Amino acid sequence: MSNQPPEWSEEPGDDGLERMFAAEESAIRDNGFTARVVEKTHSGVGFRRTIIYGAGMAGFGAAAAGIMEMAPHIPKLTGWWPGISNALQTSTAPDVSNPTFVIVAALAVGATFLALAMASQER
Amino acid sequence: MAGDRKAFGQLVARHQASIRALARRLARSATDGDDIAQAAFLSAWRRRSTWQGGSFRGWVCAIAYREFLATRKSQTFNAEEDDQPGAAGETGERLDIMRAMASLDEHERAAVALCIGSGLSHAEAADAMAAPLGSVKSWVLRGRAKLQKALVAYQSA
Repeated sequence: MSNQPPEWSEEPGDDGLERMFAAEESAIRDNGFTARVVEKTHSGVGFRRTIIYGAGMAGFGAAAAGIMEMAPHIPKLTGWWPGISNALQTSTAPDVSNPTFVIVAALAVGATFLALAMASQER
Repeated sequence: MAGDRKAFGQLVARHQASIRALARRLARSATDGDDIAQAAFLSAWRRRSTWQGGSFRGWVCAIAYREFLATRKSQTFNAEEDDQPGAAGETGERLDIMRAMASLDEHERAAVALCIGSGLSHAEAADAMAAPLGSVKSWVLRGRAKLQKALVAYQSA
């Protein structure tokens, strides 16, 4: 025996609404809709995304390289920050003039950004 | 990939009418509804790896509802244009149901469109709308009653 109130029955009523909705639906002709959708699955969505994210990769890589370059110039700070600040300042700054380093840094940061962006699109 | 696309095309052909009908009911506009339906199918194509089986139509209906919400946030629909009686060439019973649907509030219209129009269960509609099951049942119940009342009024007029 169900505790559900009778007016919440899952059974459709016999008021013709389903039939009217079905008639409305059956009046919709394809008229090229399917072809347009399938055509758009061919279109350069993936290509555009690669271009956009590629530009993002380059930007992030350049920014990361810039931060590395700035490390020796960060002012000394007191409080909770000095540990990190000192570590940055005493570390040997990577040779940003080395193109291999810049490329590897750009690819690493960019790949992370790309993965995050694609994961967010999948949701 | 080519096989995927062909199979997907067959699914679109089979379900396009029901998804477009749902989107048109939600948007209250044939043009906007078709745009939403197309966006929903393309979103389904991009996210096909996340489909966990079950009803393809139910899955795309849920995507279409979310596309509707996203589109509504970002733009103004042309509902006023299409909602004019007879503006889209609609006559008789189909015009009556369009006008009656326009009299429902937003939640009622969505719940009715999903459950009565698209045949989703209350649980599936609750999942698609991210709403409590009891609320969806209540919206369907109230929406159905309002539709019946409006349709009787139109038919006796």
